[in-house]
Amino acid sequence: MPDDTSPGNLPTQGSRLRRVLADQRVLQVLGQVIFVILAITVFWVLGNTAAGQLRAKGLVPTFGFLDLRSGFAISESPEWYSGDSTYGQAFVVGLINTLRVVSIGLVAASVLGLFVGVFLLSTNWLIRNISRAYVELLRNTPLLVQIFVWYFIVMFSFPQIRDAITIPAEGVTFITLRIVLWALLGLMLWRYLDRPSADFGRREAMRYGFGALLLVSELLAWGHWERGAGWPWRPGAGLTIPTLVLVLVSVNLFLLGRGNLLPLRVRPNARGLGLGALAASLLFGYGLLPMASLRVETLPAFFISIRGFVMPDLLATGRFAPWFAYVGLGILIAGFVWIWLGRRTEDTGRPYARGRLMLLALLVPAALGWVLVGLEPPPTHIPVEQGGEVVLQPLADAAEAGLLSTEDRLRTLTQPLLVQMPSQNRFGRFLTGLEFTPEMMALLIALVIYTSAFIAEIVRAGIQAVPHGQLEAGRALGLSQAQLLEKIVLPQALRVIIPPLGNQYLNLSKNSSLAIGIGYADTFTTTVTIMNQSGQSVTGFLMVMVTFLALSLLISLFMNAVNRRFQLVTR
Amino acid sequence: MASADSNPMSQGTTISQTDEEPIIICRDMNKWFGEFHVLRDINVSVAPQEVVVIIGPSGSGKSTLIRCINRLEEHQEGQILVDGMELGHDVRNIAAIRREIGMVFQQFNLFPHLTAMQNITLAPIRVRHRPRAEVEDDAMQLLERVGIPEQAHKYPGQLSGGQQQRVAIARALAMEPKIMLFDEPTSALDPEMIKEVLDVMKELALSGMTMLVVTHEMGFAREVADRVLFMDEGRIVEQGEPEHFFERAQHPRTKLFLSQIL
Repeated sequence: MPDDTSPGNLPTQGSRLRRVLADQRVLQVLGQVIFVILAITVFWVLGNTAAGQLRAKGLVPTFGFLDLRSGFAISESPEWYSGDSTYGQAFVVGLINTLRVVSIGLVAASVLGLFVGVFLLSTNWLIRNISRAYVELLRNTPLLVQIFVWYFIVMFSFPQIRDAITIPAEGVTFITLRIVLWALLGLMLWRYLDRPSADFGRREAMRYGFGALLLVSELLAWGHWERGAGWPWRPGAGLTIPTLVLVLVSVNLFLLGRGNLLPLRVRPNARGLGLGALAASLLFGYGLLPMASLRVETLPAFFISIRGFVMPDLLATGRFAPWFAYVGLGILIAGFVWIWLGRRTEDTGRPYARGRLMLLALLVPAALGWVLVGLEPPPTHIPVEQGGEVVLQPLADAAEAGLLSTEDRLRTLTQPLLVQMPSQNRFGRFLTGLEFTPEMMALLIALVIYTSAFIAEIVRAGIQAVPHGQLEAGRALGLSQAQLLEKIVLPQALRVIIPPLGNQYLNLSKNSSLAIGIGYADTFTTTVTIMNQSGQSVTGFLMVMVTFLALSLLISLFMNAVNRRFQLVTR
Repeated sequence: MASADSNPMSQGTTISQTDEEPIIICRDMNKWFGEFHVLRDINVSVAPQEVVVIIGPSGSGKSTLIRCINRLEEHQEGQILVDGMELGHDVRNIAAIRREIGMVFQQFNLFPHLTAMQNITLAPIRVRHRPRAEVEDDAMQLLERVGIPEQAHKYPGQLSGGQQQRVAIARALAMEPKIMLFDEPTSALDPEMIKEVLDVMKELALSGMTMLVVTHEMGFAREVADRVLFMDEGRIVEQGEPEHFFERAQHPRTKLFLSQIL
């Protein structure tokens, strides 16, 4: 340590040693040295004791057991895994399952959270309050409880597999145009809740009149139908009594609007209401719209049952690789177009339809490639097993006889991709289609919805953190609403949003280990099974902790990199 | 400058200072914030190249008045015409009018994530669709005009208050507006920075810009204004040329206000 000889120091007191020990810089270094020594001692003693105890109980951590046969099946595992695989492979299956839930969960929670967050700031009363209730309900109840609710109540309430809900229903579906009317009604309600109080003219009155009477006639029709009398307004049935009443009401409203009975201010409104109502009642009276529908023949694509969700699978055929080369080319061109047009806009100020041109650059090579790879004819004959021996058969015949396996089809198809609809065997087991177990669905839905509530609050706070003056300055410069959002609000909101968002991402990834509560085979669940069977609990916990640590560090690394991009420069 | 009016102390109803067609007209304008009546029967017209300074106690509606002119606030009754276009619910008119009007705020409201240069060039490129190179040249000239060309590539957080406000003025000017609105542009500044901003505004007034300025800087009003408006409780109480206004105010409320601040 340097000796203080400069004038102006404290009057020298005591010995030289005392002076050195009173030096701030010496004390700081000394404190750290003592702390490090203490820490090392504590850990050494603890570690030594633990190791001794474990050795005494025969629990020495080793990794050799990972090569032993696991002997248990995992419901959600790739084809290469079976009970004959090793513990190590079982662990990898768990890891894959964790990554599946976390990766889908992060994206879905972000998107959902973003929307709910924006809805929290909506000017629409209904939307604002529904999203507020959503957030408060979800973030104030325990996650494990929510996972259980999704699993034991929601998933278990779905029908048995033979009565599975199929979307769309098999057979013929009628899409009635009434859906359009209901959409219109919904839109009107929306506009009504959104409307500025001053603007209420004849046009609005007409819409509300139309909407209100649609509603009334729908209710009447429904009541009629409920009593078992069928839909009252069939084509050609002519005016029924309720319709007659509706027509009379609307005509009267219209006449009131025309006549001198009503105050001047509301007269056009009454006329509008009358006209709208008249139109509605006539349409329904003649049953034009209730019966008009589209006839669609459908195959079931989605199966929902107590055994989980099944959806169509997308399979790559033998021609996928060459086609994908074309797609890659398209992506390259699109990227180039995006950057180049971006520069052009910067340089000339002229806006280009960048998104549309980029889409074109993506789609044209993909479509062209699809045609080109399909040009080469498929093999005319294919070896199939028939009566115990392999014979060459014409492809068309073999296909007709149902002798082709999925692999054969993938090999011989001329298109690069095959959409495989779900199909079941006699026992309800799915032979084809992409399956999601109820455990995975429950965990995923619970994690996404729970985390989205937190993300929504973060997004709301981030947007509200942008001072109002920023918006005013942007508006005063003539920026459009979209430009305001893109250039002013988002860049500033993101810098507030990103750090807490990263925390939520970490939470979601770590919370995924609650999978053990419902038995989804994630890293933790499989490791617990491995530990139970092998007795290697120390190694097991170590592996789980290292896995989640690595995952968390990866997420943090990514979020920190993003964060750095959005930091403000100040003096 | 335009001040050919022979009766400088005219009150109340619409007055136009020249024979020219006014560029801003407010007719019987009223505005409420909920129950609170902020602006009452405002009748004002502003001629091209005229500099109008609005003074008055806080809460008198001065800021609200100029914020209505570019629709940062919505008026509920009456009519506002800017350069012949009516300001109403039509979004096309609102956009067109905002392109004609530049605004400078008390709190500068520079975009903190963009450099001074980017703050200035953002709107001309995105709204006016002009080429970047050209806009940047103009922006540099504007920065020279407000005296801080060397600060072009700094972020607002790295600039002093006075410099920020001058960038804000340059940003508004870059849209080549016909009218400039100033909402207490010097109220958030240290005393020594006030002068540098006022100098820029004076230069702008001399160059023939139509300006509406809400300020407490009476020296500026006296020196630069063509007309001074005094507002209280949402009404225009009195208006006139600065020399007459400051020396011989008629209305007792105006006299009281002037006696307190001069």
